[in-house]
Amino acid sequence: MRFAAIKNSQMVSNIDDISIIGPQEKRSGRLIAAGLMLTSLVDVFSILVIYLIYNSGSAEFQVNLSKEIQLPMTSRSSALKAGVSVRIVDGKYIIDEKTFSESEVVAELSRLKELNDEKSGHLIIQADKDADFNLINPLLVIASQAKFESIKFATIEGIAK
Amino acid sequence: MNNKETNFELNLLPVISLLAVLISFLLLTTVWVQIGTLDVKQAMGDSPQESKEEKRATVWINFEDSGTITMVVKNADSKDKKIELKKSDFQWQSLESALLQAKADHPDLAMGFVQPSLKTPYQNVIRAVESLKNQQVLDVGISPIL
Repeated sequence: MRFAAIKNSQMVSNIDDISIIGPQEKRSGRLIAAGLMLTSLVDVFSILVIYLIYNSGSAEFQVNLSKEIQLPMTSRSSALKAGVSVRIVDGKYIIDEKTFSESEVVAELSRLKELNDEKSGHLIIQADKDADFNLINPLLVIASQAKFESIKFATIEGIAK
Repeated sequence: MNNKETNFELNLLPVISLLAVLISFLLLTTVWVQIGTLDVKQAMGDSPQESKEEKRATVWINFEDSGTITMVVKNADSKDKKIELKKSDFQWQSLESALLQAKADHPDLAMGFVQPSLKTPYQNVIRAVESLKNQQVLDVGISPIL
């Protein structure tokens, strides 16, 4: 017994049945159904799925981006690694979605440094590309005082104009 | 066994539906913006290697409030070399070619510092660090304003 769901469904066309111009319901003779090339479609979909899965799981560590921030572009960026992430928005410093003023961020960064976990050695700074350096300068001073081993500036991979 | 019974077509519609749902889900959840980091090394107090490092050539890129960028190559053995790039005709290519020349003059040049002013745009600071790294000056620091 042959079973072909697609072929069966193609033999009877609902659109042809209700057509006003030329209803084909009572059309006699042999119907020739052209089979869709579904195998190629499945191949294309499978390749797409593999590509998307490969792309979605590449980042080792992720940071939350803010709509207000447009990160600077650089062609020399390296992969994002775990670290204490500080976001600068409107002159305020945001760490773990908590907002701090310039005076408060010193204590918070010192506290996070003392935790001694895998994040505590590195400071990741996220700031808008058009921000003045006077917003970033306090973080560099604090990072030196709190003895962060390395400072990483979050950037977008690309060529700056 | 009859040959006709074994000859059947696989119903591909559920497979296609599943793949379509998977593609939609992955398209929505994939992170398209590739975020990376530009690493800088900051000095932390006195270093025991300081005296040794002093003998090596270092390059300083200073941003002034007026927009002028000054590149200074400091070397213990010879006179400091200073190149001034005015804001009016400044191009990043000119800074990179000056760095390239400095690297040719001092092959041991591996340390650089960027000294921005308070009004320097963050993108320019990043661009200066990038220019240094492009010329294999890999130990780059940003000098904070105290």
